[in-house]
Amino acid sequence: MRLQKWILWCLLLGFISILILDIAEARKGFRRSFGGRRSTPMRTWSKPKKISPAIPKRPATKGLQQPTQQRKVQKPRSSFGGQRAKATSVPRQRRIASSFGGKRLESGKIYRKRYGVPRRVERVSLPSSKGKQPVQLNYYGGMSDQFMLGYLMGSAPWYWSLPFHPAFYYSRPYIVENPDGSVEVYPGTFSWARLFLVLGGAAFVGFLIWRTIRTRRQQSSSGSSSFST
Amino acid sequence: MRTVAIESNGFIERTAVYINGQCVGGIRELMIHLTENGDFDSVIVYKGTDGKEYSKELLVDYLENLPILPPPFTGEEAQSLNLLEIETDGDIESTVVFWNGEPLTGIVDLLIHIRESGRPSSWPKLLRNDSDSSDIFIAEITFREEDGSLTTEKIFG
Repeated sequence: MRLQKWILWCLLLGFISILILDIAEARKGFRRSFGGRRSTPMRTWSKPKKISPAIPKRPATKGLQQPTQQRKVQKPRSSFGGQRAKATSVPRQRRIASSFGGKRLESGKIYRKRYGVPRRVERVSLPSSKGKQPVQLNYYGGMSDQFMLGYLMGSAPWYWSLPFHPAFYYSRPYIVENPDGSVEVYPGTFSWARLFLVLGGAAFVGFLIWRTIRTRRQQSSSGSSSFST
Repeated sequence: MRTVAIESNGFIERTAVYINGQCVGGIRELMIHLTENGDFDSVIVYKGTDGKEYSKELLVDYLENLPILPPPFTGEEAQSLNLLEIETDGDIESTVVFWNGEPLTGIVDLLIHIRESGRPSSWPKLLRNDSDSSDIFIAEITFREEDGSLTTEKIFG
């Protein structure tokens, strides 16, 4: 009984940890103005990035009352207390990858080295804050290509997070941000650990059900009591 | 010396009776009533191996043709059950009662009455007698506490 409880707790913790890691990865790659946490822009290459004159800094969304010219604002002593300023202090560089919520790769060579050359490459231009941004979609012919498109469209159904859907066993797509501003997207990979975890959990639940049924059958039989006739 | 043990969780379906270490079966009714005043009543009604019904004094008489059963509970199942043991030579002065292996003292009254009606509880009321309408499971021990007061505790849940 103790062993069964210990196994059940291990499976439950493993399942929860996978979900947490998945959510953490999604949040890492998801940037938006509202919600989340304030943080400095992330780098995807080893060398410090130099701002190219081809990609000028622009103010944030047009929904806010933004000044047309960049201005210097004094750094506040604390973010807490006081009143909220109408204008944002530092405009942020928007990236198309914010709608993906995928995983980051330093280079597409890492993916191609492991999984080979993609069967088909499609180049599209997607709207972004900087205008049209080139995005290279790499198709490898598997089921994860469809999930990659789903993430690309920005709509991942809630049931993709359930073990009943095949998307649960694939990771999110991999994203490579090139220095020239283009983005490469590679499909997610299959996770054997998740599959074995789910199968192990289902087998354990099935074992518990079978054991309960067997125990009840034994109880209903005439061998469990001295008072059975 | 005879040892009678009852292992149960309070339900007749999960109750086993052991006599001198052997699990017995075919019991229809079991009643044990022991008091410090000397009352020493014990009755067992069972269906023997020959199909006949016997009524004997559990702690005194020879129990002929008593069906012997294999142990009904595994060690794991037994952990969820309670065990009451009565060791006696036939009189109250030499009777020791154990509860889950621990000897009890200060017992004033011990009453155990277990009876199986033999019919399902959903038996139509018109078709069953008042005397054996339903199962009976009574297990109580009255103790005399240190301050002299009497407390009655129900055992087996």
